[in-house]
Amino acid sequence: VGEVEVLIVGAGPAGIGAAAETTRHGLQTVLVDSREQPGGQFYARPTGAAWAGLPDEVTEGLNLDYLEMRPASEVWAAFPDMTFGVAGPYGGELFRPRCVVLATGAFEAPIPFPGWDAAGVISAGAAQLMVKESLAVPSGRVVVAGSGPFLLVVASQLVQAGAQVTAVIEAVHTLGHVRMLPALAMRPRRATETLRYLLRLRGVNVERGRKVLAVESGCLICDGKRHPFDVLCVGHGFKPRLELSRLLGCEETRLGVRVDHLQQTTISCVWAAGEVTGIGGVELSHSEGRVAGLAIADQMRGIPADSRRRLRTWVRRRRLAASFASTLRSVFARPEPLAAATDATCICRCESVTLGTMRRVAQVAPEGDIARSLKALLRCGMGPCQGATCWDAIESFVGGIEGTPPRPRLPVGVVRVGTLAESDKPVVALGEDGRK
Amino acid sequence: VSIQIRRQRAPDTTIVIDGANVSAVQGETLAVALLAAGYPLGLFCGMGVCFVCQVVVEGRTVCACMERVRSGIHVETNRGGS
Repeated sequence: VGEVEVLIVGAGPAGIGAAAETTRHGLQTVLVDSREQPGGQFYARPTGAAWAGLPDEVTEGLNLDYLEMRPASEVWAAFPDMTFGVAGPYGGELFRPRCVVLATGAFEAPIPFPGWDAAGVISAGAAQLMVKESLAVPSGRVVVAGSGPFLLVVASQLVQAGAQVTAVIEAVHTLGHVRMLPALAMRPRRATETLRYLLRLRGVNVERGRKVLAVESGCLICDGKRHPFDVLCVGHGFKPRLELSRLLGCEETRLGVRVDHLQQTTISCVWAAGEVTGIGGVELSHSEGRVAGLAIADQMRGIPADSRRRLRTWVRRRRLAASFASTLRSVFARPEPLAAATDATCICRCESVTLGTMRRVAQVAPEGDIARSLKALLRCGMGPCQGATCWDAIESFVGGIEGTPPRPRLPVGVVRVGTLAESDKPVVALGEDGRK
Repeated sequence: VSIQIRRQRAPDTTIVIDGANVSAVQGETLAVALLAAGYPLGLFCGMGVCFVCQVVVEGRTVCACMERVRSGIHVETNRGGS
């Protein structure tokens, strides 16, 4: 077991911010990320040297002498005794840090609708990563649809990269967008950014107030209008990745992991920063990471006066970013996950389970046992993605009857059996509920 | 029909897909390389979460969207997953 001072899970804007501050203050830090390069989804870029291509302000303060990287690796386990299992290209390792920062970020939470599993329908994030990482675009007519500020970003990046974007369909009405204006007026950088996106989309048919209803023979159908496409990029917003925080028993708010003013969770020595505490974008994530890193350094070593000043600055920047994030949240409310699904709509893509089949099982399932019956009889959420794609919809289907979502089980993500065998923890016996 | 891809860079290397040599760009994702070569790869999340694009690379089952093209790697498209 590797004894380290700080383990940071996730090398996105939040994780890098935390690492910059812990290593600046001389704390031995291990930074784990599932990607080959640090930067997270936001700074995804063509391959190159690890830290190349990141803005200087993001890596400011980072001291590589105190940093160990674990790229292309997954934290597959978080044990209550603060042991963490890490699986990477070279096998498995266990770490027992004095502090951990959960900066696991978010994933796109899709909304199932008829035809969402058809060929040519991809997530908005997938389209964006294609541009950012591979410098490639989908060819033919590209339609971007769903809801949220992310759509505008993706559409504009696709246009800039040479894609033929024929339509952008946003569920929120134009009047809803007006509510963003006061917040934008106070944040000139965001306002210019938004303006730039809109300018790039000149000539593109942007329709607001139209919901994604179905895909039918190569057409997106939105409130009676048909939009033919070759590639449809759908996005309905993001959900925080909470597997590790749940394994550790961290409390949650309705947005994500509950943290105090210094990003500490309700479990001692466990900190959380970035999208995992609530979706808020790159500025908020990075500020939270900086605050967490500084607070950890202060707790473990004490920080000098100039660091204390920096902490105050980051707390202020965090507050500004948080207020903008909350405005965006109020404008782009996530639709009800099953609003557009019909009985024939596939919900669990891995196991090909339709909503109709789920309804039939729910009718015969014992009271209070629907979630388990869906798994036992249909393998809902038990395929390769482990529910990452369908969980939102299944949770909404079960509709509160079952109360809180089931505890995540180990391993988080996909791990080779050999990696488990290498670790000196009796993994099989670790399920607290005795069921594993 | 799967997604057609247009690259901004010219192919600069070769990989082996199901035994056939296919040109690709160093560092692009395997998903892009497969789609650009016309393989009917399913793709959805693009970030290693949904596992729709599973392939086998040098004996390891991986998400094609998370794996980068390296010269000469061997990819099998029909063996991964459940």
